[in-house]
Amino acid sequence: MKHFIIFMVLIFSGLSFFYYHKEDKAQMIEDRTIRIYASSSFIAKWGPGPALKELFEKQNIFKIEFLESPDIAMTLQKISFENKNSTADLVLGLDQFDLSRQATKIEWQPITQTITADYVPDIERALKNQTRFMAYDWAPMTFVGRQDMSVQVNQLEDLLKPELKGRIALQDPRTSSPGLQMLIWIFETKPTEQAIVFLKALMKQAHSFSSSWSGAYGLFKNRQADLVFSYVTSPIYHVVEEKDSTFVSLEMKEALPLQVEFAGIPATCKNCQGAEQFLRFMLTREAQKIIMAKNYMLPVVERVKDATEFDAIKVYRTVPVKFYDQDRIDKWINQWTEIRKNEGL
Amino acid sequence: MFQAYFESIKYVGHLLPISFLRIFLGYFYIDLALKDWKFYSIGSGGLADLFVEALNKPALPSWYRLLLSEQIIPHWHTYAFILIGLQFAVGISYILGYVVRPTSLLAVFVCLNYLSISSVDREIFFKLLIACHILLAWVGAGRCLGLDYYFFKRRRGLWW
Repeated sequence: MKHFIIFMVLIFSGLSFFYYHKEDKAQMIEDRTIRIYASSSFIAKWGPGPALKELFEKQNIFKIEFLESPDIAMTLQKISFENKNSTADLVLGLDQFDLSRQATKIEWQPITQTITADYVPDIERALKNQTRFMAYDWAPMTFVGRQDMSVQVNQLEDLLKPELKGRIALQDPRTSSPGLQMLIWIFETKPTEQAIVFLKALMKQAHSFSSSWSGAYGLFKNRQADLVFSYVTSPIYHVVEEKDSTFVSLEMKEALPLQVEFAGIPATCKNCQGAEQFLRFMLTREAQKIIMAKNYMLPVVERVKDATEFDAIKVYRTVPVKFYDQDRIDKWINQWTEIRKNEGL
Repeated sequence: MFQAYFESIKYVGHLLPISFLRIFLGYFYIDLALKDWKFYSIGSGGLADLFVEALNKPALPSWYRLLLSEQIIPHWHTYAFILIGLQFAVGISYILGYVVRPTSLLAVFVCLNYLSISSVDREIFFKLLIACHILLAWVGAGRCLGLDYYFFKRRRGLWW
């Protein structure tokens, strides 16, 4: 027993010694490193992360370290309880729902007014009142299908056609941002009673409600579904990566919802100056081109997509970006959950 | 002591495969501790992820959730330090073959903690680890290719 206690005391004494002698070194590393939380698709080698990092490090003295954020809610929870010990300098991949639902979990640093750009008109209005978050890409959302599809879909009601029964890949609004986009879109374009009736009917048309966008899109790609709720930019991915131009985004009678991605600097940032520098960099034409080409989303800065494949994308008529409060979103999700339960799904 | 270390092969050579498992687990724990330490020393990292994962685990017992949110998370830095210390202790003890029996019991406790807080898909891994630790404690795995043999020869008893 004596041996064991001495052994444990030695281990912990040694660890404490190393801890106090390592702090200075860690501080030095922090000063020049910007730690950024981003989604796995953003930091993957095919995503925009590595190219942005390379370009930024060439132009600046700062180093970028990407930290994978599997789920934005969990990442913010982590930053919240790490509090002053948190090393997060920047969080990427917040959407407009996160700003009202999740982002309140932590304090955010106000973004300097000089970090601005010549924004595209579609989202400019939504960004005017944002002092803590900066938009870096966006895209309208609609249904994506194939050119050889036998059914014509021009409006939400067309989704209820018998030919599409069990052939639409949708996302679960409780876990997926596109799923929530669609749910809100339905409630915003129809009176509540009609929206509920429509959702009940739509349950039978859905192939399934995937927990994520990628799950639903996979079903569509494997031809297990004829339609999927996705971004208007999705077909361009197939043109560029697969030389396949048979995919089309559908223009709907109803104005389309917009998905905007934001970045924010937590108030507990260590390298706040570097984080601001990176935000400024993200609005440059070069960075916006990288984000557009690798993330398959539209640039927030005017004329960046000119003379590129993205210039051919039809943006269609869109609804202005809105920031909904938590209670309203919860009410819609509860209604959807109730309908789904009653439909026996 | 050095002589006893190798002499153990002659007298308790049948425990050699168990010693291999012990040394491998020692390496595994040191590697884990070094990775966690790297993040810990800069103030963030894997253990914080683990606590968040635990809070979002639906099957977490309510008393543990309370303990986690009321006690552990407000002082997560201290708890993370203790957890890393225990990982180092298990790793070093297993590699040296020193105080393996009490350390194995400690390792079972650490694994039970991980079992409660980590995601469902990793539960089977921690259950297997617990079985390994119990096995090492049961046979006294430090007696072969370990310092425990030296002390066992002189003092006997359950601790070696």
